[in-house]
Amino acid sequence: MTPNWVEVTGRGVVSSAGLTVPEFTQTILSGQCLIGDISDIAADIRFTKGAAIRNFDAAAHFDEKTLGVLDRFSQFAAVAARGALAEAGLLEGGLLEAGTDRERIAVIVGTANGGGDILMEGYGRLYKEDRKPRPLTIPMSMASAPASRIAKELGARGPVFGVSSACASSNHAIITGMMLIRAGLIDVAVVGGTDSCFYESYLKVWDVLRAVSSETCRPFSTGRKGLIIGEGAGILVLERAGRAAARGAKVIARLAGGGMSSDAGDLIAPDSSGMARAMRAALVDAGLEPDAIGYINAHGTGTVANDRAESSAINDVFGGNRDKISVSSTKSIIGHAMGASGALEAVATLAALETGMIPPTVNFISADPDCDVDATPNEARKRAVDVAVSNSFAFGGLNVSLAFARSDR
Amino acid sequence: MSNTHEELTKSVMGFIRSEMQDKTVEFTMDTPLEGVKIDSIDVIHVIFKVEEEYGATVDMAPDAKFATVGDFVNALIAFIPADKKADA
Repeated sequence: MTPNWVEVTGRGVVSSAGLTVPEFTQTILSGQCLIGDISDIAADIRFTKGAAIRNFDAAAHFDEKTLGVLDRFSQFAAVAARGALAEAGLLEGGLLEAGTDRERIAVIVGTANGGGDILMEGYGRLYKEDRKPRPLTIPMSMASAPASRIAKELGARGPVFGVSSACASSNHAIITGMMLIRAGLIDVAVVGGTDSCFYESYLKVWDVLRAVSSETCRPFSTGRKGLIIGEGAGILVLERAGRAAARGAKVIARLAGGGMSSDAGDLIAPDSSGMARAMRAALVDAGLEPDAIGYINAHGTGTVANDRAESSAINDVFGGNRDKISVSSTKSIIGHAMGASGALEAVATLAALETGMIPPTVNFISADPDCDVDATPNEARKRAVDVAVSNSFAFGGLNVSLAFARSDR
Repeated sequence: MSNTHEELTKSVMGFIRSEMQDKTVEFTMDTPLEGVKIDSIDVIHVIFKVEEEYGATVDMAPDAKFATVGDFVNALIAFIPADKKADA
């Protein structure tokens, strides 16, 4: 451990693989695939599969009045945050425990879409029904709504804001929380991402982009045809080094470092050099050499271009150690949860560190010669890992890699 | 359809009750507005219901101050179009 590593003390998820971290961990290690039929949500498009969350009962988590001011993406984030804060032992009766300085806790939540459900409902009322949109459409749809909601529930009065960088939103939120802790501005950061993705118009705009697979998601495999849309929320609790021990709490893992880069290039096409720069920057920031890394939770969308570029970047950064590094894509299991993907995949990465089992890339047919990585096909693999990297590479060429270390490092 | 002032008053008071945190609290037109414990979001919802129900355009800020429930209700009723009022 170096002094600038921060502690991860809590995790929370709302995902198609489970609504609790133990369920999520068990599912992603089991080799299951949560991708199912979504043709009831949108018809006349080129894809019929997605990883929608069908069992999230909002009314079980919020009273009627609160539901009236929370769009689905904020509901996901608030429930995931409750789980993370409970695991961290920072709650007393639903509020921050008395030992936490309310002005030194940050809440930073990423989202790619914002409150798309309520916006689309508003447009439907406006253009189909000739009615006014609901009066709270703006505060419900704003990208900062999930962070604001979590802060309100906690009474957190430090830095609270949303961040948006498409599919890298979670990782930008996590790295920002880490930097605020390192800067000495806060003690605790509640960070992650959320997105709700299964409303008709959203699926239709993805359809016309032609990036979604017509069947399933097969990252790094032959026969891959694109990404599959997912949704959900992931939240982590970060604390400054030593704080957990001082209050008798368990450290789950350490966030050793992070790296950010921009391609400043193509809007959609990935650039392996930008990916490589993010991974290198994460290693430098963590004070680690490439041979310290045993697992990479890849961005791994399952598009032909991403997986080829990411494999090239991994070999560029880790080439000499290629055979000692497991790679896998959690998106093959839970789809691409957009702004939530980085945080959910961080939880998957922490599962690998904690259990010594590498989550698999499912739906894998055979290795693509253009993707020269050990993609952990179809079955979890036993491998003790000290440090793992989690990648998020967004449209617009926005890249963030995070390096997580075992708690005993 | 036209409504008497009494009917409109009853209707708008119903909108207020539907937004109250504690719907068991009794109130009258003379009750101080702060006594019914509605927040800025609730006020926006009440204004919106008046607009939707009566085709009104309510030019009122959500943080507008009123002393009593009656002051708030009558201010809203003033925005209801004349053709919806029987005694206009």
